[in-house]
Amino acid sequence: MSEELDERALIERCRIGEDAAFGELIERYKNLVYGLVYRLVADRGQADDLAQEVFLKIHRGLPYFRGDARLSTWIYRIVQNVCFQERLRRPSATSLDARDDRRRPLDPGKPDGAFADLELRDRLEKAIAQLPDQYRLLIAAHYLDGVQYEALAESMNMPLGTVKTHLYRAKKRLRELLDS
Amino acid sequence: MTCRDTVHLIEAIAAGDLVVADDVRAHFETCPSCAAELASARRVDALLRARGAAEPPPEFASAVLARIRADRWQSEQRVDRIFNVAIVIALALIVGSLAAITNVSGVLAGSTWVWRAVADASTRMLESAVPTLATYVAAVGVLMSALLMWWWAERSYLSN
Repeated sequence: MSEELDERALIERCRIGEDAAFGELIERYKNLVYGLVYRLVADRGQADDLAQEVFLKIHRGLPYFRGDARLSTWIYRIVQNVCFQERLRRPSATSLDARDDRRRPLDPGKPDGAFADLELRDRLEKAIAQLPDQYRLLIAAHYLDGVQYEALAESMNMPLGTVKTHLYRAKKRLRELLDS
Repeated sequence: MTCRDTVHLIEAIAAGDLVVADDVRAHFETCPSCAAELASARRVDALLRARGAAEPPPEFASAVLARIRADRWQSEQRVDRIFNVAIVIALALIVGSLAAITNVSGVLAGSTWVWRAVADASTRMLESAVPTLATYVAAVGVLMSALLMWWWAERSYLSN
């Protein structure tokens, strides 16, 4: 409850144009925004630019933020819009080349050290890059900092059950890509 | 319980969203194919949970604030430009009006019959307003001073 009040106070301070308050808001949400954006675009330079764009939109939009939803939920929505618009604008911009490494099935039975682990992670990232946008967002957000199903449902304007179904389908598709 | 019954439960079980009923558990214990699917789903879930989150560069917050200041400056520049155009238009109107007031006959000489009718009406109004001309001049002076002060304040604010 006090966190909610604290958040409201911060929003009010931002609304009256207090730069220090917006600096505080950036500090509070920069890891979440940057982490999410990076997972969606998989490129440092682009993530820097888009994460800044997200905060610019937050700054412009705060006077119109009604506070019906949590601030973080509203921020997810902005991240989603900014990243998807960028993808529409530059379709090739977010492509990890996912086609070059699809032959090895997911096999955890042969641990050959850190390299195998790295390789597995690399394959996972490439498989995620092949998922449809909405699935990628769900995977990125749900597994980042414990974003709950409820928050995802609210930010994506979907029923809770649909969010879960999409996530399960996304993970099933991910397994198929890793095993193919 | 068959494979068809359990296949759509695998992701939910792997994510820990579902309490596994005894008959489902029994199926996984006896069906190697479904057990392998569940193990694979759990591995993917573990991999996703272990994915590291990228952190923003140290100068990220200052870069965002600089971008916000630049954005604000640009929008203020736009407002300032509109304001300057408004001042120029207001000045032109005031100068034109003063020229017409001080050169009524010249204006009348070059006008068409429609304009002449309008001008006649204006002249009659002017004639009735002549005694209060000083008031109008004072009002224009006050308006101009206010506009100039506003313009000066805007310039000082933007240059800070």
